[in-house]
Amino acid sequence: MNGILELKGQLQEVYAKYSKYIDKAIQFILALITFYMINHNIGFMNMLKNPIITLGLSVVCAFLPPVFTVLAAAALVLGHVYSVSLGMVLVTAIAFLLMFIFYLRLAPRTAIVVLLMPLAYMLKIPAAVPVAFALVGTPVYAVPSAFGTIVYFMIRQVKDSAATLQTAEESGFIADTMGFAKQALASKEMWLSVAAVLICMLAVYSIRRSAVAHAWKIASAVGAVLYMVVVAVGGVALGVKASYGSLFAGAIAAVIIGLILEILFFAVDYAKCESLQYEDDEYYYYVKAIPKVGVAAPEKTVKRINKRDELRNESEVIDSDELRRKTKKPAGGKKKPQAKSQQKAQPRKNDPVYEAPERRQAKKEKMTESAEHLLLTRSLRKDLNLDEDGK
Amino acid sequence: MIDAKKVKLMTRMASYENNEGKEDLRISAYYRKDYVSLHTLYSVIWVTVGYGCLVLLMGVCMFDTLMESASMGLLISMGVLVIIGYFAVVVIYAAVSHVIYNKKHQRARMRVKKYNHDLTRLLKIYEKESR
Repeated sequence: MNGILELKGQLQEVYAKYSKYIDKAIQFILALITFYMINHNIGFMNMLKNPIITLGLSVVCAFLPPVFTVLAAAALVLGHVYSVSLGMVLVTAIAFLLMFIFYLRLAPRTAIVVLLMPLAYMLKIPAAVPVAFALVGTPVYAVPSAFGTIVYFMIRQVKDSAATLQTAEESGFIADTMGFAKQALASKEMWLSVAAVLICMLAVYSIRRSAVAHAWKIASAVGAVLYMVVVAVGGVALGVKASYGSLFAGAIAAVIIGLILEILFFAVDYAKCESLQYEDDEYYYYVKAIPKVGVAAPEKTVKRINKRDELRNESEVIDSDELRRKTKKPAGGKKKPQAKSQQKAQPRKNDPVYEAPERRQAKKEKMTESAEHLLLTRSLRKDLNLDEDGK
Repeated sequence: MIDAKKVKLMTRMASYENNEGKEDLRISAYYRKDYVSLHTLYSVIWVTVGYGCLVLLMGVCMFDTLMESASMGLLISMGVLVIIGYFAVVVIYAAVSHVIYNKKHQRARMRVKKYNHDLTRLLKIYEKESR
């Protein structure tokens, strides 16, 4: 565990140092994977399918805010669908417009979830996104997750319908539009998945926020299991085919992602949990305090250990040099204004408090000796652990 | 000589200006009431467009069913339902937009206030230096 936490510390340091480049690289990779997946699934237009265009678009998106990647992906989908049927473009465009108007316009920062959700479906780990965003975010992410699910099923519908439409001899605009709209919006599997995503997300969020030990682990596991159960049971009830193998694998992947996120964002030591109770004039407080676990990344330092250094270190605790300097007679040269006033206040030879210079010197030497004696005693006490024994 | 305090202050201010500051300064140029009203109005317009699109999409989906069982009574009841639905959606979105933009303006004003405070401190440092 310590090794993982050390790695986390190192990663944080690296990220802090190169965050500017890492952010751009992540954005570029995300855009590239998204555009590749779109082209791979519904790449009907050869011009847009060109790898150079995909790469160029990804580079451009890397330097723009994430919402532009979402817009570019939407434009790419519409471009590909346009080459299949105008009616399908209309339905897809209206669906995208509705998503923009009713949600993304108000919360453009969460737009990235709309992109990640179809990607998760394509990678067969759909439960990972609701679990991850419920752990690190708020229930608001349920809306873009649901939209992302709708987008994925629409893309799949386009893929399925395109083959039929391309082979059909005659197809009209109205017939295409109506047929596609019906198929896309009446898909039982889509609405079942939307329900599973919403239930999973709300369950994970409520468990994660509760004050139980290992809340994040429990939340991840419950979320993944709930997603699996809703899809499986709903599939049986609605007559929707579901691959149980991939569903199970996806749930396990979601749990693993949840555990990784826990290490990254919620590393606490439940063994040292404290329950406190106190009160003020108005309330009684029952507080549960769990200490965070933080291991700093080890720094490479060369420490030379020898007797001379030990003594020097000891002398740093009570600075004997400074003590000597203070006890020494001030040498000639420029004096500080404060010293001037002190000089004025010094007693003269005839004064009763006057001390002969030899006697003063002897007194100072005695003080220096006593300081060194004190240092030596302290050093010995420390070496022999006499301080601890005394306690 | 480099003044560490001044450098820290200027770095914080520059970072703010490059990130949130751009939008915050634009938002704080409006009075809160004006800003919230304007954006609520935009929301109502957008929602009207969106609702139109939604009704169109639903109409396309249910076109066959509607044509098969078309009657004046059904069409009128559908029309009434659509209008009631429109007002319900508009009211909900206007309320949500009002809350969201109100908070947005409040937060932006708070950050701009802090920024102005930093600006004053920087000005004082410069005045002190020039003396």
